[in-house]
Formats: sequence, structure tokens, C-alpha cells
Amino acid sequence: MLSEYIKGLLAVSIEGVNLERFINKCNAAGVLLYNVNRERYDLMFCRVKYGDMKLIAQLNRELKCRIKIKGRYGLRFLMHRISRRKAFIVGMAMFIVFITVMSSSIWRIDISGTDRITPTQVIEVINGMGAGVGIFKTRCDTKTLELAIKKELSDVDWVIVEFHGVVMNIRIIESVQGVEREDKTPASIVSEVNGEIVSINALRGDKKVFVGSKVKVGQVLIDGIYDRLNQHGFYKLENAQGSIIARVNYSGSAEICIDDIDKRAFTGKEKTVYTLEMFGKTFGKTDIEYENYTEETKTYNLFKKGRLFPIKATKTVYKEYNIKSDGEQYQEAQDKLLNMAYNDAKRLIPIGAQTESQSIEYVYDNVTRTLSAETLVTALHEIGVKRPLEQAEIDYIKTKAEGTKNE
Amino acid sequence: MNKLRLFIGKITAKLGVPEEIASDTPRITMLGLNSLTVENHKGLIEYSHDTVRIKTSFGIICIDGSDLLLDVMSSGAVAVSGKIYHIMTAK
Repeated sequence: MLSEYIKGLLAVSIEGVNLERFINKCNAAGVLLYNVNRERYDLMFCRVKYGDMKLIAQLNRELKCRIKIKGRYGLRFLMHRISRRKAFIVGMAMFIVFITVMSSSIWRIDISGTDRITPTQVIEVINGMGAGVGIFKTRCDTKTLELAIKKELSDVDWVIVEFHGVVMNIRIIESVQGVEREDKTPASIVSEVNGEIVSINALRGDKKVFVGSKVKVGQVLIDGIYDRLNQHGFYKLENAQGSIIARVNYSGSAEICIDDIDKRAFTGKEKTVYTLEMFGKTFGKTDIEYENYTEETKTYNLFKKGRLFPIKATKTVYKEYNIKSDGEQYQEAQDKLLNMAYNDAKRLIPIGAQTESQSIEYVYDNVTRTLSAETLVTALHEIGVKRPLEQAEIDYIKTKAEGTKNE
Repeated sequence: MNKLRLFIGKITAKLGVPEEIASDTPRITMLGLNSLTVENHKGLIEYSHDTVRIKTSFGIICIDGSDLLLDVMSSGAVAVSGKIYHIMTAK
């Protein structure tokens, strides 16, 4: 039917006494009739191919039916109608090109099935492969992208990348994480820093310190050895487990020279002046009423050097400032030192620690005009680390247990 | 003539060739109640909104209905659409 539409179809009315004969004659001659609709006994409407019209006219010489063309359909007639409208054709062509170009690039990326992996990670991998929003679909090889995602993200078990129109769909199935096997190696929990115990909660093992105890680095907090007979009458070796929160002090220091502090205090007032320079003369100069100010100048060469009209435009921004007093400078130095010293101490504080208090002491050196600060930060955090029991310790307790059994 | 047709029919059936291809046996295909196609016809005898009579080598096929329309009319097939009530055959 598409080829008929391209070649053109004619809607005709046939008026005559023997229309069945007309149809049969057309059939015999190989003329195809479409949508034959008999209105009356002597009137019929149908559609015929544009090329068959001459043949129908020849066949009709004998039957003498009255044939009238009622309408013209198809690309042939459409093109004929719009061939004079050049702007319309250009517009239509541009529209088709525009739609084709716009629909051949990626407009959105849909990622589904992610749980541990974030969509940002997936998009980063895709962007790294030269694909993403705004890139042509033909430039994106889905198989390569799938392989890259699998390679870069180890948690991806299966991935499929496909296009639905202008949308890139990425479906991911993440690998299933196995349950971590419980560690049963005999071990104790020891302190990794000096501090004061705030809370201790031993889930497994023998508690060796209590709230308020001061502990040192390497001191056993929860022991993996029960070096005493328990209620069942035997010694025990365990993988100690528990949580020990302690108060730990961290110190930090910093120093700053007062002269390094910027003496200018900008008031926020500023004035922009545009000047034009041509033939050695400057136009648009104005006086600046500020007492202290800075200048920021930007020059635009309107025409290149050596041309007939060497014109230069300049934009100058004047910013007013006041000179700070010694007291203000000292205050600013103190504020800066507070942050610097805290950041110095913070390097040693573990992530997730809770800062309880902070104290700071300033020392000023008149000779060098240097202000130094020492800060002491008290933080609360977990201090326990696991230490596997040594073989000698294990052997000792086993021997002891056997001795008890023999008794 | 009928004996010859019968003979050809038997041979083509044994060879596995469809009968309507080997001989000019009409093939009537009806899709739902609104569309019907007759292949291997010999011409149109009558056509109106209510009745379509088609000649075939085996006789006449008479289609009764309302709002009947000949969608395609070619030398090989007739496609009829509309509300079809009866299909009758006559020698």
C-alpha cells in the first residue's frame, strides 16, 4: 500500500448501468480497484492507481460509463502541491534533520538495581568511556560499556546497557555478599592510646579495666584468657569482643607572624570606571574619593595594533579599604591560630570521634612579632584493638587446664 | 472435467502441494465477522451494500450482510469488509 501511496491514488466515481461488468473488465485487464463502495444501483466510488487511469479510460470506451476524478491522494500529488512553497520545504527538511540529530543523542540515563553501588559511580565509569548525556548513541558501544562497568565496579555481577529512544537504560545486578565468618582465634583487646576509660562493655572475654581507669598504650582491656576456674570448673580461651570508649587528649600547635596578617579591611564599597583611550588621549577619567583603595584594571583592545583606529577600552574597579589597628590584627591572628591549631590536633583524632572540650593558650613574642598557640583537644572514641594471643599464653592456659582435670 | 479436478486434487494432496495452488479451487478466508477474502475467483456477479455474489470455478459464493465494501478487487482475490451475516454457496 505504501508503494501505491508514493505513486499516487485517484478517487473516482463511476456512473453506469452495469457496474459489475466494469469491475470484471478491470480485473481481466489487471487493474486493481480499492475501497469499492456502491452508492446507488448506477453509481460507485473506488480508488485506482494513477498509472491505471489510462487503461480504465480505454476499457470504458465499450461500456460508456461516466468516470469522474473526485480526489487525488499520495506523495506524487502532495509533492506537486508543495513544490512551489520553497520555504516550507526548507523548513520541513530542517525540522527532519533537527529531529534526527536530537533523537540520535542520549538525553537521560536511567540506572536501576543499585544498592551498594551509587549511580554516581556508574555515571563516572560511563563518562570515562566517552559516553553520557549529550553524546551520540552511535558513539556508545553498549558491549564495551558493560565490560567497563563490570571491570571498574567489582560489586557488579551482571549488567546490561540498552537504549530506549533517547534514554540509556542501565540495569545492574549486584553480587551477593556472603556472611562474614566469625573469628574464633583467641585474642585480647588492648588499648592503642593513653586515655581514661569512659565506658566499657565486654561482650566476650575477661574485663580487665573499669570506668575511670587510666590506661596506657598496649594495656589489655578485655582479656581473651579466663585465668581462673569458671562456674563449670575449667579455664577458657576466647576471642575477646566489646566496646571501650575512652577520653583521650590530643595536642596541636601553630604560629603566625602578625605582619603576615593583611592590614587592609575592605569596607565593601567599590567603584567601576570605564575609560576609552585613542590617539594617545584618555576619555572618561574620574576622581576617586576613597582615601585608601585598590585598583583592578582590565584592558580590551577594540582594534588590533597597527590598524587605522587603535582604540583601547579599560575597566578599572576601585575598592575602598581601611587600615587595621594592631588590636584588630592581633584578634584576627588569634582567630586564625585557633583553627590552625585545632586542625593540627585533628590530624591525630580518629574519624567519628566526639570532641568533648578544647583549650588554647597563646604566647606572643615581641621581638619577632610572632603569635603561637598550643591547643589541647579532649576527644571520646573507641580505643580497643585486637591482639591475637601468643602461643606461649595459649600453651600455658592449656597446661593449667589439663592439670586441673588430672586433679 | 470434475473427474480431472478430483484426480489432480488427489495427486497434489499426495505431493503435499496446497490444493488452491495446484488447481483453481477457491479459498475463502474469514477474519472475525467483518472481513472476508475470496481467492481464485472468476469475477463479480453482483455487488451492493447488502449482497456480494462472486463467481468461482465450483459455483457461486453469496455473501449477505450490511455496509459491505470491496476493499481490494483484483483478478486473484476479492476482499470484502462490513457486517457479514450469511455466506452461501450455489452451483
